[in-house]
Amino acid sequence: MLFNPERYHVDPHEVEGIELQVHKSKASLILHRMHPSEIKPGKGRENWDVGGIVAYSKICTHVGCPISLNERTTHHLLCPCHQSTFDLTDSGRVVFGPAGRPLPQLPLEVDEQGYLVAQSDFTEPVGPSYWERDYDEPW
Amino acid sequence: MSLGDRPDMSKVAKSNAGEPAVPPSRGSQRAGAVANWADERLGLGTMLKKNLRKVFPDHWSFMLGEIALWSFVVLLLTGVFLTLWYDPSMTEVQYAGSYDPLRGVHMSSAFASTLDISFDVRGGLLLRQMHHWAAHIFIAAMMIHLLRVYFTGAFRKPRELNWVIGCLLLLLGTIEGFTGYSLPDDLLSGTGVRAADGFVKATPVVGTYMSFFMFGGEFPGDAIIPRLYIAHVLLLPGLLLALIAAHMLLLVYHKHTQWPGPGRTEQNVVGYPLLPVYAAKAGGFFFIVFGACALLGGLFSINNVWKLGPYDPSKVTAGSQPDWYMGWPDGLLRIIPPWETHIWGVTLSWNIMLPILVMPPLMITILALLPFIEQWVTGDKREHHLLQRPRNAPTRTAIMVALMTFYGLSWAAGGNDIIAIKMDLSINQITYFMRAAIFVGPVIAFMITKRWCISLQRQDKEKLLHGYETGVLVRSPAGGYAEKHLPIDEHQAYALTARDRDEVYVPEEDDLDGVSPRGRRLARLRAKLSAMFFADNVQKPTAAEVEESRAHAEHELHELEHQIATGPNKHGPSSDH
Ligand code: HEM
Ligand code: FES
Repeated sequence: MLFNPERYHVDPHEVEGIELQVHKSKASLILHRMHPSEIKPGKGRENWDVGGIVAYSKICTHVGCPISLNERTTHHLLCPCHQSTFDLTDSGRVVFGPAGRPLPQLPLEVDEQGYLVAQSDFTEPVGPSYWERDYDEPW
Repeated sequence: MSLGDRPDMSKVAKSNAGEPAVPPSRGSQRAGAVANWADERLGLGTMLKKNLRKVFPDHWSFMLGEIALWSFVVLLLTGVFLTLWYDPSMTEVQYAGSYDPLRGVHMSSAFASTLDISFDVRGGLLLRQMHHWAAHIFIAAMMIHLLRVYFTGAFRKPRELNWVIGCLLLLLGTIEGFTGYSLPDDLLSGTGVRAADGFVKATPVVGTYMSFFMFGGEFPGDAIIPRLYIAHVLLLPGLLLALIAAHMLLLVYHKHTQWPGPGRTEQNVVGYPLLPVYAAKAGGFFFIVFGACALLGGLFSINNVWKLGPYDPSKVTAGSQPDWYMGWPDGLLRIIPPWETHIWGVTLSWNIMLPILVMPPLMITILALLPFIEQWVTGDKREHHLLQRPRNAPTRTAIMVALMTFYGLSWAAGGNDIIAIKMDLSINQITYFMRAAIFVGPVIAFMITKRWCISLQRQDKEKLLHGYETGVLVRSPAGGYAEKHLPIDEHQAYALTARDRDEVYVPEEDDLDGVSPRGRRLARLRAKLSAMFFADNVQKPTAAEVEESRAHAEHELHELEHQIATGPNKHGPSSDH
């Protein structure tokens, strides 16, 4: 269960219709498990996986298709729309295709009751790029 | 005209107030009376008298535009049928129709009503599939018609504006197709709309505002389907209809072009009158196009939206493809490298802007400007009503073949995943290959086409000067073999020579004296382009050359026949050839 009522004020079971669609187009997740030794953690992401389980946004950073094709042996995710390929062992880096940015990663942890939960929200906007995307970044 | 000169209208008005100016004869029938009524008010009679006898020349390629016209009519008819049942709403409903696998599934009303049309409305699936097939035919026919007009030079003065209207029709038809394709709100089309949202968001400065405006809030919102619907059934069909009307009016006003031939000149049109021949042909052709759409719609399923289900932003499958006419920008989008600039706190997505926001408008603009560019380069400001064979304008033909090659390669790149799977190739390698091919391919295509055209011109000249090859081999007494050539017949010779001589533009230095530096540069550029256009072309032989070669050929023939008659081998061709 990834839903954490303390951190996220919407109960997914109560959302429906258009609102649900809006949430799905932003909050869809990929949970992927590999051997912990296969992960090359990015800087500051050393504790973002739990025993080889990682979570990434499912929404392509290209134009927003849900990414769904998993290459099991390489832990690459392939977007069916324009074939951008992301490496889940390496912070969602783009290894092929037109997408310009890595997939946003969701930091994971285990809570007191033993549930897998998110440490926080995504640390950057999910989905396609847009003009104002870096406004908050220090530059 | 002074007031005093004004004709006295009171009398005219008075005489019309009671009885018609010309009383109808007793025997006149009801139809005649109606026609008379209309004619007195609208002056239709004179207009019809002129236009019913309007002459249209005949050639199979003139039928391509008609296919586009009639498939548009099929779209109007089937589209109106669909509006009776289609519900353009994103309100969530639980499906309760007769398609079992989806019963109970939550979906938009739009998708549910599309399922109803497909499964519960009598004839609904047939009409839906006819509508979709007709859309394919409409856009394909427009494209092929455009190629016909281009390759035969029918876009030249005075028809440039009709060419531009045609380009707009192609653009609007494509957008109309995309809006219609999105209406069912199924998984594939929803994914297409999602991508469109990404395209809009990639627009510099105003992208996010435009996206929120379009969707009435955050994607997907509940506004996009009703809005696409109004665009699809009112706004775009209205524009299409107006442009098609303008296209047809200009066609009638300019008169149709014709192929050169004996008796056909720049001043006349040789063909059949509108009534009865052409009206019957064209009218009958509507039923053929309608029948073809009905057969396709009845026999071949298209867009089975129930297979993948309603749109869900978290789902999509492999091999997702837009309708084919959206394929070429999609292909460019697939093969472009991941260029994205992050600078001064803003994001510039070249990987989306170049293939989607820049290329399609650029291609349409280039297409629309082709007549004007050619006119400027060649300096040809004359009117043209006789068509040209593609080979007789090698550079023009080569330009379009280069554009077609670019289009075809981009389009194929849009199916790179399908190609990879079907042909067991690496998708990465296909992509790298395509990145180079879209630049190199058109250049190669240009060169091959141009040389090919010029060889064909050379062959035409050969035929004119040395006759055609009869296939009859003759052995001379000395043992050498020669093929007998005979002059081509006069109709053919006429058609081959009915073309202008090309003139390369050479700016005279004296003329350039008073010209600004910019004007000079332009003149030099024009001269260079003009040389590229014309310098390598094979010109038709002069009358003197033809005469001379005829005399020469006759002489040769006599020689041959003499040799045959006197030689030991008497089985050669008889002299009545
Ligand atoms: C150039 C003209 C047109 C083109 C290219 C076009 C194309 C399309 C396409 C591709 C679809 C998707 C069909 C499907 O469900 O598989 C569609 C749906 C539809 N079109 Fe058109 N169309 C045209 C004109 C019209 C007109 C004039 C009307 C009505 C006045 C119309 C009404 C509709 C409706 C109601 C739908 C939704 C039906 C459904 O989803 O089942 N269309 N159109
Ligand atoms: S949306 Fe994923 S590659 Fe284009």
